[in-house]
Amino acid sequence: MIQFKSFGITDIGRVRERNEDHILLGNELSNSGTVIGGASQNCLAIVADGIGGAPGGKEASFTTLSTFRKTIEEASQHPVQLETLRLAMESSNSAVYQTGQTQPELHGLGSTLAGCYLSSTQGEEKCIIFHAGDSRIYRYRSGFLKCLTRDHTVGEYWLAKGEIPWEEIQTSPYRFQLAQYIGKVKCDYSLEMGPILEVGDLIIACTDGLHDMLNQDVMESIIQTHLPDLELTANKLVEKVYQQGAKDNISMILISVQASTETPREQ
Amino acid sequence: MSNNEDDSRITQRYQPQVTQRFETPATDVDPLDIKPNTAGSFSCNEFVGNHFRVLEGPLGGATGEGEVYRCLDEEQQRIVAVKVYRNHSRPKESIIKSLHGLCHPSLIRLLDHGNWNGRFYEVMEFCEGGVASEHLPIPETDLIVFLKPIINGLQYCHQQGIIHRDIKPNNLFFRDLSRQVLIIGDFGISSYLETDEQAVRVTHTAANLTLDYAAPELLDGHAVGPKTDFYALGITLLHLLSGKSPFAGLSNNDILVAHLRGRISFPENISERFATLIKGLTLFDVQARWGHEEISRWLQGETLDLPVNQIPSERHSTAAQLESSPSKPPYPGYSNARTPMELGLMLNEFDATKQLFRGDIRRWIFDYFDPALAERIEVIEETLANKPELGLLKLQYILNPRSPFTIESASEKLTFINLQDLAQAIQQNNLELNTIIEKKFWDHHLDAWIEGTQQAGERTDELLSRLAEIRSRMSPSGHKGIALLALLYVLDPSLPLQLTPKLSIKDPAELGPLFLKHSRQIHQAVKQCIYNHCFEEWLRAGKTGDWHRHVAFIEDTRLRYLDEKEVGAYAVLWHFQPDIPFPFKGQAIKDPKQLATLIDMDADSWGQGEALLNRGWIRAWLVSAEWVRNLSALDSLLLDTNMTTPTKLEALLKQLNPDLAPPEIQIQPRTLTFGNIEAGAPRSRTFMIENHSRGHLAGSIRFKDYGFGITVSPIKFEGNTSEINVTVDAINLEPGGYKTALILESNGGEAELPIIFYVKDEEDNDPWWQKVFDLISPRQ
Repeated sequence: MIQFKSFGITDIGRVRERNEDHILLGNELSNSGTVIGGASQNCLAIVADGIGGAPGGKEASFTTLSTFRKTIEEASQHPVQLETLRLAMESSNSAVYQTGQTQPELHGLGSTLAGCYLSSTQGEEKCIIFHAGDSRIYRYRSGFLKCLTRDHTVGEYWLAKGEIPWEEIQTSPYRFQLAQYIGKVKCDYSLEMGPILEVGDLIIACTDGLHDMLNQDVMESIIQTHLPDLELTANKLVEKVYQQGAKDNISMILISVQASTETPREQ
Repeated sequence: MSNNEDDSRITQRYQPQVTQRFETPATDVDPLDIKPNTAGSFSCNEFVGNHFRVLEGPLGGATGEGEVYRCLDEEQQRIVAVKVYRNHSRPKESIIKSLHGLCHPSLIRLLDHGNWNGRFYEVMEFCEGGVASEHLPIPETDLIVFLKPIINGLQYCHQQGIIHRDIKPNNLFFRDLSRQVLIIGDFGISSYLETDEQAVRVTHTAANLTLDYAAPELLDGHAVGPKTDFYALGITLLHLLSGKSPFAGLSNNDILVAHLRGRISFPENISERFATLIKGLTLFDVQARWGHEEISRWLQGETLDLPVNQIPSERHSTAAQLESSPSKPPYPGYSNARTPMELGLMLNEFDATKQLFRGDIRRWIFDYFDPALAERIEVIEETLANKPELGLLKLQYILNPRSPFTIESASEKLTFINLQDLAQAIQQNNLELNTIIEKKFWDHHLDAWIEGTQQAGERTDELLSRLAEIRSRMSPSGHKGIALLALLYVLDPSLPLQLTPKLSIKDPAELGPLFLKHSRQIHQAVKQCIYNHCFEEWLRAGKTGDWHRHVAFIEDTRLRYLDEKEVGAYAVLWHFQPDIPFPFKGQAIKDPKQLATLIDMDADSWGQGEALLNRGWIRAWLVSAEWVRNLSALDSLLLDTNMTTPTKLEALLKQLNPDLAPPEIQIQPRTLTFGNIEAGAPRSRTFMIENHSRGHLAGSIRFKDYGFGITVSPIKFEGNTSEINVTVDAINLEPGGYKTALILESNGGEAELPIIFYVKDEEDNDPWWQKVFDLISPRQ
């Protein structure tokens, strides 16, 4: 049996005037500070990054995660089913889109989203990851940080389509533009089963405020040094981002996969 | 080089240059494998053989193979080159034989060979004109003249079944000082082309390979053939024309990639005509590559069409997708790699482990080449992060499915390109090598190669699960050598079971007939095969017929007869050939009845029968040759701890030969009369039990009714005569007459022994005989 411990942090950074990120850990939604998740048999962790720097950014990431949370709570499932998560994605998307439609001053608002749902019930372990935009899910194992998501950017889209020469893609100014995000008329988000979890794994959901500022070597080394203390690891990562300038809001949730101290359930 | 200099000067200048032919290759193939040793084993005026006097040498130091000396052949009074091989190293007998048979004006002649102080030597024609590599560049007009004899020489070699495999400027010589004729020399590593199969000897040591001139098929382990020499000739021509190797200054890896990707750069000053020739000779595709015929036509001035050089990786199934093209970027983490295969060759040039487990390599392959390949890499990422070294190895094999399996021992580096070669190497019983192979098996390195390169084709998955199965049954420390055997047979299930150097079987059914011919040898061999697990592992791997039952039988036999291996070997022989006779007293026993009769013959044979029974011979025969219908009944008899061996034997003999008469019990006396017994004064009598028939009498004694203070000792009897003691004690017995009996039950029938006694009343004065009389005629 495995269990999850988690720690989330969202921070305004050095440059931005407000934090347009939100994080959702369990049922706790936050726009500033930290969220601690105790040892649990399941864990829902999502980060969202409001787009645009306009006032709508913060609103969008809030609407995204609050709608998501509401959908999950209403379903009241243990464990949460894949279809429920799909419904939550759809609901968030249409809620943000509707906001843009009904409030002309917020027109064009949107948010990224990257999250995972981990559960370990009745000996069955589940890892579902979902995202829209360029927020990411990483997995750290045996010293290596592997990105489990592919950014929904125009560059990646062109690449997958295979029609445009790679040189053109690599030099195009549009390559980092978001191709998918929550709040699009029709959002082609990703929702899929993640890798098989192992005790010792660390799952990270983060916004680009983290992974654009730190390279993988730096992240790996900080994680390696400070695990298994999640809070310390997260703080050190944020500290490092600050050293690098912290040009964007920084949000991340770390989830560690541990051996359950509980006695196993009856067979 | 001018030809106007006078002869003596030329001689001085050029003779030492002959040494160049034995110089280490221009490239740094594997510096560790080449041990220049300028101090030779022979000094001037010393003799090699009986009449080769050393004049000079070793020429150019020593190569991996040996040292070369310029010698005077005192018998023939001529100058020769003598190559003395390193200790224990010599060409294969078949090669020597075929090299002696080579006689062509364009080939350096092998004049003689022999052994001197334990070292093998070859005597060759000495080329006064020196080595071609020292007379560069050669103008195109001259080269056209030299070319014809060389290709004729090559064609002649190929017709004799010899692939030179090492054509290069260092191996071409001017026969004499006029330097009008260039000939081919040094067949040191040539190998004999086996005509019946495509199997050329492909296992080679890296040191023997001159990388600059090596055809792609030589590098990636594909079949080597005549065209391999023509490829080398193509590169050699480039070298001769331009004065340097086209790969001069490149790293080994770059050279490898250049060959495998068909990237050979041409100097500008080469004519169109020669460029065409060299392109034709260096085509990647062996079929399309030019050979003797095309060169001859080219020499005659014909214009030949040059086929498009087939892109190397198109030889593989997924290769079309693995091909680099302008629409595919080089690998971002190491931009020298433009295709997965190139990346596979360059993994040790950057931090590939990190990029593998971060998923970077998979992404590049997924995006630009082959999603299926990417999926295989993802399996590595997900399962081997805690064994990064193994993961990287597997990646290398997946990216370059033509990678050989390499084994590096202290003394050599061996590469294997297929499972059969590996199986063959294991059979050489080289302890050092086998220890390494076994370790690579336990470390999963072997699995990585087999899986990565899909070595066994459609059988790959099955093979891998078999390797896993061996590991699950065994442990590295507990099954030293055994795991390797199991591995050997799994790698090549068609291998026969080698019983002796000369005798082997493909089917266990062949054991019987073989045994009849060579009983002692086969018995010994089978014994060995059982106890070193060879037999079991061979059967398991072959999975033919009733292998489950056979393996279970042999396993059981091995454990049951750990101390009686002779018996174990016979048991297995009987299992496969029940009519092999049972050896007893020099006779070949055909059936159990005969055995029983023989054992029963006399005391001596009976004793031997007991020994056979105790050592397990009889059970082994009865069970293995399937004489027994009820095995559990037999075993409960044999394992009965209350029975002595002779008793068991008697019971068994009776079963084996129902015609044997049973023992027959007789007792003496027929009645035991004790008379008057007083309390506190017990009285004893004895009686005898005898066997009045053959065999071994055994039985036990019980009371017919109550004990009445009677003690019998012993209560079991055995053998042909037994004395039994009976004691009567009157304590606690009422006064009066007692009549009871003992019942004797035996394998020789039942008998009853009456016992009569009288317990006296302390106040009763009747004489004892009166009581007895009363007993006999009970009172009214």
